[in-house]
Amino acid sequence: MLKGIQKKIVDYYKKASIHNIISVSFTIVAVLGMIVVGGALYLRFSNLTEEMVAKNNQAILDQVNLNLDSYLRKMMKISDTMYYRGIKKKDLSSENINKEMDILYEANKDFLISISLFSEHGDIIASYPVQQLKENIDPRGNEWFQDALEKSENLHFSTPHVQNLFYDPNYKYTWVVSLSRAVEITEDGKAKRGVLLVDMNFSGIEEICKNVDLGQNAYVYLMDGNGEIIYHPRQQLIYTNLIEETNYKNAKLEDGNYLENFQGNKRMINIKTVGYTGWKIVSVSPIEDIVSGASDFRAFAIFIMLFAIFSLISINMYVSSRIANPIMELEKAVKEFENGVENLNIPETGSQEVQHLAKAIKLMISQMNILMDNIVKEQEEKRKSELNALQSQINPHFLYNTLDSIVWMIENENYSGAITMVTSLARFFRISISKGRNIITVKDELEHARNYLTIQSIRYKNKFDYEIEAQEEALDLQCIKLIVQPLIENAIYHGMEYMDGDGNILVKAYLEEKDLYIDIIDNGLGMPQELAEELLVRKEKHNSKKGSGIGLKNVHERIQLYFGKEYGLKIFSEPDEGTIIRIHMPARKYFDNKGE
Amino acid sequence: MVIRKRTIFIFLLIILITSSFILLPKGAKGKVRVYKVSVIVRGKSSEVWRIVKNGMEQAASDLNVNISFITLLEDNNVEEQKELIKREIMNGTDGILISPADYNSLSKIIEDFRKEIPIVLFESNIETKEKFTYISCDNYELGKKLANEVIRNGNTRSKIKILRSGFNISSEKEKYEGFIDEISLSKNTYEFIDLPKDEAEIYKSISEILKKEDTKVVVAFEPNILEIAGKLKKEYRAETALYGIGSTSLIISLMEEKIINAIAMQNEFNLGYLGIKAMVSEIENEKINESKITSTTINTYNMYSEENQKILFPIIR
Repeated sequence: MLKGIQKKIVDYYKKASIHNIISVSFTIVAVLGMIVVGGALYLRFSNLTEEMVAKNNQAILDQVNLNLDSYLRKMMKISDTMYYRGIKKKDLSSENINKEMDILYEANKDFLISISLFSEHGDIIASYPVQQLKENIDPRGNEWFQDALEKSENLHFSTPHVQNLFYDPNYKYTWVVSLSRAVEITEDGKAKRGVLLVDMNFSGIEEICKNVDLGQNAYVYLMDGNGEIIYHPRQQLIYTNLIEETNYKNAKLEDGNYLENFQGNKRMINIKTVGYTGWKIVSVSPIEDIVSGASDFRAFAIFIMLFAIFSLISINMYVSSRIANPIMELEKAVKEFENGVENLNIPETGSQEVQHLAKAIKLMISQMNILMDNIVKEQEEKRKSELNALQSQINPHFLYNTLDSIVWMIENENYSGAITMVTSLARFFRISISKGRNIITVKDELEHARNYLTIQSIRYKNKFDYEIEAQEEALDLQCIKLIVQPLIENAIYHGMEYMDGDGNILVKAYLEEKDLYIDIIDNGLGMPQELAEELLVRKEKHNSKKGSGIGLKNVHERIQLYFGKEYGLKIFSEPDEGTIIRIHMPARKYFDNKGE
Repeated sequence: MVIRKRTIFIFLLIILITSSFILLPKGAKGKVRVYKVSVIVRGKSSEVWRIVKNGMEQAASDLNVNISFITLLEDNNVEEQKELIKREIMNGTDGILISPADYNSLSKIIEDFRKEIPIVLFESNIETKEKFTYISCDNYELGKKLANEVIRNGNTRSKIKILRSGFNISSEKEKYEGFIDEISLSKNTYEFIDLPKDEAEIYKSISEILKKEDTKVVVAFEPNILEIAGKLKKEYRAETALYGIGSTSLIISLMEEKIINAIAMQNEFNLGYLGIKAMVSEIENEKINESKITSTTINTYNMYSEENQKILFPIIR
């Protein structure tokens, strides 16, 4: 699986264009970097927030604890004052403590519901501000009363309860927290036991716990050591089971910081035990609240990350295209060059290196083209000079024999024959030279052939007849110099030598289907057609001692070189019947413009 | 290539913009909507609705609701309730939480107005085929529990007089039915006393019953009637046992004095709290969690038990 993915990635990289490689790699690296840095920062931040909230809660709880402690001490002080300054000093059979109670109550009436003193038997001895005990009530049944007498050395804070001791004309029922203690009262000089009750209202405790600023949905509640709730901002909802609180569970925990899962929500719990009473202050902060700041931060971080990634991808794409596009264009151009497209336009854009590369390639291509052209030209030149050399290489035998014939004629005083001979020879050479041109008119070529035939027919003592025919319109057409003469020479040597007077050579120039044809027809020995066709292909043998030295093949190649492969020679021959050598050339008008 | 690049670019841009819309507003959470809810009860402004109101106020502060708590000039006055519904809708309330004063005659108007604004019923119901959110305890069960309490206190062959008012209120009817069904299982006999509307007449009527020695038990189903009966019993020092439903301070105090023997009551704080909660859910078109409201009986002896204290004397902040 993993290997497959790896292979795919590697494959992708192998195939991908430079543009994709650059942009994808850069982007991946950048995005990974962003995510790692962003994630690390976010984690650090959210951990920090949690720690800070925990510390903050702890500090707030300490403050609450301090306030509550001082509040409770104040209550205890009221109780102490009442006891040591009032009750202890007086013999209650003769004196009363109403005045002291009155003063004490009035001084603290914001927090107090009532102060009352009971005898051991539950009879009321003194009470302020309400005085009338309800008929059916016996204080001795109450927990605070029993606690006070059982552990007489302590002060006892009760859990909240409805105070139902006193008659109230308005039927008012108040929730109180009772502070009770056992006291020693003196009646008629005898010490008796009694219970001093100070009922506190909630407002003091509420004041301390309510205004704690922990956060939007965070709150502080107060419970006794057993988990009974003393103060809770939504106390009644808990009492009527509309909501739940983890107070009983938390009562067992030590002071400190805890995380709990409550109804699917994570909450941070901080517990602090209040001195003396064993009450516990608990702060509750939903984690959601704590991290809501963090989640805002996260949203912002993600946004910033997205923005950065977006910018990076854009920049990467731009940069990679700036780098890659010129290279790709260059590559495209090179591909075209490979496919043989000429006149390439190689772009010179992009970075300096690529530009340099493009310039170098351009230079290289142009140099290559020049070289190629030079090679072609050289080859052609070489060929032509070869031909020219051949052309100028008129067989000395021919010249010698001709001159010999002329001498012989003069000796025999055949002056007219000698004159003809010399004239023909002169014309022959003039045309041969023809100002160094390669192309002459058909007319001149045929004239050349005629002069040659004249000379040869005299030399061979009229062994053969000859005839030259030409269509009028063919005469002005272009013809390569010295192509007919070698063919005639060929016909004479191979066809006429053994003919006794009935040899016949016909040279015919004509137009057919807009092409020029010159046929050299002899009725000599002939040869098999296969052999005839071979003549144009096989390697030339330097066998000719008598001829002009320019072979059939040479003529054939020259024509093809000038006019193209579709032109050239064709040989039709049959043994004992004769041979037709057909020159095929394009019909082009001759212009006397010197040169080829 | 150029086109592909452009599509990628536009695609990324769109992602960026949408993400900014999704992510950034989270930072500034919208203002908390405060609903105006009108609560129309079926009684006079009295202590009877005290705990219910407490519950509602607690819910109001928890759920960001502004409550206008509207009482009637006369108990169970149908016409007044109709007027109040219209008035409150005119005043642009977001929802009405009503305890209908009549089972039948309010059906049409409530059904009609519900098309305009959310209406939730609490405490008593109306006759309707439509699906209404109705928050109440099981009143039949409440009646049964009271009957049980009467029997448990030693009434096996007693003559019981039931003070009846509010004839056409679903909750009252159910309570009667539950009480009668339970009491019929015993050998006690019962009799309905239909009370007149006028308060002075009610006093007269109840006085007569209490003076008669043959009646051992009197049961009052409405708190204000129970108060009257309690006061009269105290005055006459009558021997008749007195039972009832509801918990005003006076009733509690009378119970403490053992004048009222026992009461049955629903968890009124929860009734109020859940009423408002249901109202908000209705306004917000959310699914309503129909939690049952519990009921209990409280007598002279257990009224200060830890549990009962919490129900009788809700702690309000």
